[in-house]
Amino acid sequence: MAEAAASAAAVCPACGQPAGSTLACLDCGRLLEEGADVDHFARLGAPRSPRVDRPALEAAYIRLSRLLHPDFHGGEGEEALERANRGSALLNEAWSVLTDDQARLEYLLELVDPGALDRNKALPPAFLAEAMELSEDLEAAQTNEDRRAAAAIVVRVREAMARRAATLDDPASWRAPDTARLARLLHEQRVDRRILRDAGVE
Amino acid sequence: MSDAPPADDKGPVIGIDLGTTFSLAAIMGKDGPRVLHRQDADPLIPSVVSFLDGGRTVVGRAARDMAVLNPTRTVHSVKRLMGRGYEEVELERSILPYRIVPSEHAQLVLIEIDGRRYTPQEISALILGEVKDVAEAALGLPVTRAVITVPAYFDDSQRQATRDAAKIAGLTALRIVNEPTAAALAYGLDTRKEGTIVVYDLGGGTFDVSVLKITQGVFKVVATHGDTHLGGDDFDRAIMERILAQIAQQTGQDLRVQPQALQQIRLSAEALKIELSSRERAVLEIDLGLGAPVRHELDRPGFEALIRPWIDRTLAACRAALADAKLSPRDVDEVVLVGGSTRIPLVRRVVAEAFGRTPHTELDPDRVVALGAAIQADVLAGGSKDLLLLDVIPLSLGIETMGGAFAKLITRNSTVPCRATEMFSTSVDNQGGIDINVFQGERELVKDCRELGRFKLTGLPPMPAGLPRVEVTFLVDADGVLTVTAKEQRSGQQAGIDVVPSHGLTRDQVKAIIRESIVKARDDFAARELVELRNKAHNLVHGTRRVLAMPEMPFTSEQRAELEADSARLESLSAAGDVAGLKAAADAFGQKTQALADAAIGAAIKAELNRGA
Repeated sequence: MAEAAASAAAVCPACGQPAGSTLACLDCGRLLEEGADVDHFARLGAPRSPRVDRPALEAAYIRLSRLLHPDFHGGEGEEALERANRGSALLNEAWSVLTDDQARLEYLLELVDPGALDRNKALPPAFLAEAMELSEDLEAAQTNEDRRAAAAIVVRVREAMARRAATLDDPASWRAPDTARLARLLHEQRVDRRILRDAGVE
Repeated sequence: MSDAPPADDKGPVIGIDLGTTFSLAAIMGKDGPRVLHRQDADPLIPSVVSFLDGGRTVVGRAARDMAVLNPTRTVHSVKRLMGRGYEEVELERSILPYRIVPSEHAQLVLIEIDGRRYTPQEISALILGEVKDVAEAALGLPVTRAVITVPAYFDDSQRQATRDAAKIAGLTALRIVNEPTAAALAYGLDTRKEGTIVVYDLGGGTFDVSVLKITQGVFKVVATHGDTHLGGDDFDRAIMERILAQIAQQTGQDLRVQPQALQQIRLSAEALKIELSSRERAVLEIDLGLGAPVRHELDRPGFEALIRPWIDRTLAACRAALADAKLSPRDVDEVVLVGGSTRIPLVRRVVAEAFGRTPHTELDPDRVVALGAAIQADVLAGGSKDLLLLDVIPLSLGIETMGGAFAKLITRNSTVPCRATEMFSTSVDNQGGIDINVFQGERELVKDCRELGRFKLTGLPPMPAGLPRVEVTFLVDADGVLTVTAKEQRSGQQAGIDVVPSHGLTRDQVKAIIRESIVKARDDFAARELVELRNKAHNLVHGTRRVLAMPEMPFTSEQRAELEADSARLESLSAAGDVAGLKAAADAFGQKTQALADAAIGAAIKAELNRGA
């Protein structure tokens, strides 16, 4: 995690100040060439962490959009335009990943331990059995227009998701992390989110 | 002639609203954006092209006036055909009076007039050409660059078709901007608002709703939804059906088979609709030559019941857009109405109810999109750096995988530019190419999505099956248009890509159309010149003979013989259609007769003076 912090804090070759982003210098506006192993946190000048400072992220995103967007590089030739398109696309991807809790945590896990999500797909049978039951009960409650029963199930699913989220976005869980456990929790979040989405709740 | 767009990047950049029913241009001025028009003329140019005898065309109001007399050669609502396949326009085929035919493999829709076939791009180019002319007349400057608006819900093919139409019209489309986003720019600039705004855009043929967040001059679209086949046209048709049913009941006649009568009824239905926005009841009388004129009456509740199903669909799209944006109506700070159909009181009422606030209607709903396009044009021309537009891709984009499944690579409402990369390999030893089929839509199977095109990766180095690693990058640019590039990772070789658009024109087809239209324009020019020269020759000969016949003219017999010979020669050159020869002879003859005329007039005046003395 220390390397990423270093690349985000890299010094701008134009103004000599810390650049604050690998895409462009937040201080003087100079567009930068990205090196290898750059991640979305470094692009938005954020520390590699399960939690993000949303206002700071938004401020960086807006500043970088103004620097990188192809609208402001139209008269500089094909190459500059292509670079602006590429830089903007990376910036937009970084923004959409880091501002979505599930996407950000999965992304962070892959940075910490590549392949962890894929290796830990098998979920405990007890969890899967319960998920299937909840899903069926929710559907039945909706079909019977039993609003109270449906609401009770939704609350139960949301509470389980909140418990997992508390572990997942706690920086302590990511110090010497048990990546197999974090991966399983993320998969379980996906399953529960799916239950809510299929029921039209989310 | 080069096919390349004009190279100069100087000159004005205009904003163009290329609409289903009308189009117009605007430009940024010192005091904000303003619409462009010919002196004393309405800036709203009907998006109608009418073909006259001899392949000539008229565009705009004149064409619209031809709709009744010339229904099968007058093209309106061509925007509904842009970038679409023949099977996809079944509804349009049944309601549009002109002939619509499939292209060779039915990927394209063609419009057939007098045995000639035109792509919707060419017809749109004629409309854009007229808008360009109007802008040039208003500005007194040549215009080669524009920002052109499209419905937010237009897919890649429809956007590409719009760009191609601009190219054919001799315009570089610096940007394709979504109509509701442009409208938000016009309003945002006006009020300097911050917060969340919803733009409800109901035009002649399309409906869009966009949710935007405005922060420090950045207009970020959060979600968009819509229907590219829902608009005021549908309301006209509903009224039309009502009138046709009444006529059938009263006279037993089915006018559906009479294009002229149908067009007359269509225009009357539109007029009735417009009247019902300001009155509680409207009556219409049309003389269709059926003996007594047809009288049709409609009151506002009746009209509202008639169009309610479409309005309900727009509200469903609003709810979907808010859900995508993870917002509730309470989170919305402002609602803006755009498009002529938002003049309908029912629309204003239901939108106000749905969002719990009175929607903004300060700016003319017919002009606000063009004004917004002009603001964006100013940004792209390097004028303003204060505001930035961040738009989204309206529909998910992906590829076909095993068993016809649709694998999304870029999800809808992603901010553009955006990109995705995907690895591909071969399944046979020494396979030289890979086919990638690209689709756009939200369903699970590609058969339920829209096919955008087939990308053929070529020139892979010979390798055992599965060994090549081809990284394919899909980039959606700020216009929402896709480009695909590929690189073989092991050899580092850039793979070639042949693009076969499913419902559009290939680069070569666009070039061919441009070439042809330039050639055609030259033919037209030569034809017009010949007509003018023949008129000039005729006038010269006729005038000369009249003068020669006057007894008081003091010409010598040699002069008379010479003039007679010259006249005869002009007549034969005129009949032969020899433009160059006729031009030279007419000019020489003109000078000669001018000198003679001066002398003759001099003589006549002298004679007159002598007589008076």
